[in-house]
Amino acid sequence: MNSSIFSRRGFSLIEMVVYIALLAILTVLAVNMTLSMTRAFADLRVSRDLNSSATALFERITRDIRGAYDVDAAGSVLGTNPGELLLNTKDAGGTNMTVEYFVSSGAVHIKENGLDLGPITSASTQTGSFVVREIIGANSKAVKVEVTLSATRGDITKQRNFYTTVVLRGTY
Amino acid sequence: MFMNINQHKQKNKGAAMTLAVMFFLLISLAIVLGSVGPVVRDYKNARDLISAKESYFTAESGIEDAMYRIKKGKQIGGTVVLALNGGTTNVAISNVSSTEKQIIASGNVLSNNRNVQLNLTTGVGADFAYGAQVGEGGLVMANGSSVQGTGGAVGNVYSNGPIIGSNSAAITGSATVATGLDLDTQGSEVCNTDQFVGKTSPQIDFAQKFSPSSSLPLSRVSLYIKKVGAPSSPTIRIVADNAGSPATSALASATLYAADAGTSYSWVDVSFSSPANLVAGQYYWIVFDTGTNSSNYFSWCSDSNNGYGNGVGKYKSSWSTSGSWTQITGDLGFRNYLGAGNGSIDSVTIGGNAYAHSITDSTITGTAYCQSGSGNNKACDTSQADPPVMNMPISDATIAGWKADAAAGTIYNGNCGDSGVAGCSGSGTISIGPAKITGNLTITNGRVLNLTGVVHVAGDINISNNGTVRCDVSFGSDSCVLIADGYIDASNNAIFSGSGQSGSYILAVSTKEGCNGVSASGCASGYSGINLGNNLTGAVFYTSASMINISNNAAIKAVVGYKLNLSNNAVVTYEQGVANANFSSGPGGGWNVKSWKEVQ
Repeated sequence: MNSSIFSRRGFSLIEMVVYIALLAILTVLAVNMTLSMTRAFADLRVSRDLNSSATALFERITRDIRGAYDVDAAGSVLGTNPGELLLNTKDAGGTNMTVEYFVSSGAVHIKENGLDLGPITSASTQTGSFVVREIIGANSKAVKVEVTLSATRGDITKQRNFYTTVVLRGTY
Repeated sequence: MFMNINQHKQKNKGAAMTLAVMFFLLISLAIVLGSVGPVVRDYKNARDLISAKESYFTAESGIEDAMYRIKKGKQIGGTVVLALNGGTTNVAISNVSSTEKQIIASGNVLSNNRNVQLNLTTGVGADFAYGAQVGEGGLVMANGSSVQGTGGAVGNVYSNGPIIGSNSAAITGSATVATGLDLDTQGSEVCNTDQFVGKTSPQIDFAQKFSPSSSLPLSRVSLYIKKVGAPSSPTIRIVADNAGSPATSALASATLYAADAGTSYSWVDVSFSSPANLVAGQYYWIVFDTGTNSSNYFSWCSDSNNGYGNGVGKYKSSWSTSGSWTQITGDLGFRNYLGAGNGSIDSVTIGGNAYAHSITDSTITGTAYCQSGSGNNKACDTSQADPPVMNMPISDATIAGWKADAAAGTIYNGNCGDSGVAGCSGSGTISIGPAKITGNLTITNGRVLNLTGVVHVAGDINISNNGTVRCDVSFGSDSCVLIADGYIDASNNAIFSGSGQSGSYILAVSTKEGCNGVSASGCASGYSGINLGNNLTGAVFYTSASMINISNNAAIKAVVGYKLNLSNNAVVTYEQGVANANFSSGPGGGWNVKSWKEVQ
């Protein structure tokens, strides 16, 4: 009986202080963890945006340069930013055609035979710099492409540089 | 009882802690699972991308291996499977034609497939359309010699110089003699500055002014040019002068075959089938009419010091449109050949038609197309103009290319064959090629020289006493090439043969100059560049700057020379297949990339 009364007495002040302190610490930890997870997730998405834009652009431009037989130096802007690359190439049927890469409102666009097909980099990325350089060898030509892309989500902004050099197989 | 209550209370406290742990665990799991999804998807995408790239470069590896093997004459079958870095590449090699191979490599890495196709071309299909084709030196036939055809072919002769026969000399096919040619003194031969023709606008059409020294037809011009890349064949026009620039209409035009130009400067001939009749002292222009391509163009060498006094060089975007020409500093390299002499045939029995300016003392089965004749069995049919000059079927640039292919192979420093250096001697069969021999090549006493690629001999070639030179069986239906800087002397049952398959011949080339039947040093018997005699068989012989002397029952497939001397029952037996013979540097070299691309 004595013990039963004792058990219903409630919490002592010290107990309360200990419990609240414990709860506060756990809550701070939880919120902090959630926030950092959110930041990490946003960071991940920004990286993904950059990578997917760069992958799409470089896969396409690499394939086009490799298939081209000449760089139209007069129609291209070489060595400076913003650059333009006008390639003389052949379609699957062997007919001559042109493919052009240029920067318009922060995105890299493609033109085929002078017709703008739209941007190849995604709307979530900005093209900070697009520089094209032509390398002329004794037997063949090559093109170096340097691109700086940036992407922003919330207060996270990332910028990365991408490079590639491709030999024009059509020049053989 | 006290103990029981106490235990119960402890259990209650524990439940709160468990709930808290569960609560945080669920939140953590939700966050982790939320992040893992995209990460895994990204990982899969990245892995596929990398596999696709690996697959592409694995296919490239297969292509490069096959190309290396074909170029270097290494063993390779029709299909090859290579395992490389966890992936595989299936390489399939097929012949598109006798001068083109197609390689398709399919790369496979983790079921990601990518295909690359490479086409290689080789060889020069030299046009040996005549049993004998002779340059300005002409053809001399004596003592029952003949040019015959076999296997349905007729043995035609085309000569840029006179044909002189005697003692029942016979040509079973047609005999054609072009109007003779002389090199005009008006020309520019100094080369010190490149002029790129058709590389960039408006330097597209170039023209060189000249003034002929005599009033004759301009049958041929020779331009000192080289090519960069693979330009298409341009048109060369002879144009009148119009107030110091070329007029906009042509007096004569002909195609300059791009294949005749090499990657270093050489004289490239252009013959006009309808030559322009020039007047001495008047001004004319040679117009080089081409298109524009920044990677495939010609370079026409010029003399920046204006060494040729009677002309200048100019350029314009298109020769036939109105507008002004721009003058360059200096003269472009050119030679003019004026049709000075008239073609003639004398004392030959001809089975087909005869074409020459004058024909005398000949027996002709077909029609005698001539402007003047006497002592013939037929009167002249004057309905046709004199035949035009025909270029040699193999250009200097092609021969230079073969020499380069040979030099890329094995180099034998010294003589070869009899008392030859190590690797190029022995009493049985000697197999060499592609190879360059810095000394002489001597094959006698039943020895066999088996050519596995093009062979270039810097000295002389002597084949005699049952010595044999043949193409390796790997040439198949292609023909092989043997080149000498010195003379070629073959006699006493020397045997030349192709690979054994029909359509395969051996081409023996001498680039010796100045051995034209008159006293000169370093020549074969009879002051010839190529001397063939004593029951020799096989081969196509070629020399563009010397005489070929054929005697003593020699029977050869076809012959091309600056001058040709047939005597003592010598027979040139022309086979149908020679016209289509494809001369390659062989399985051991000379294949070049035609196209290289990724395909589906």
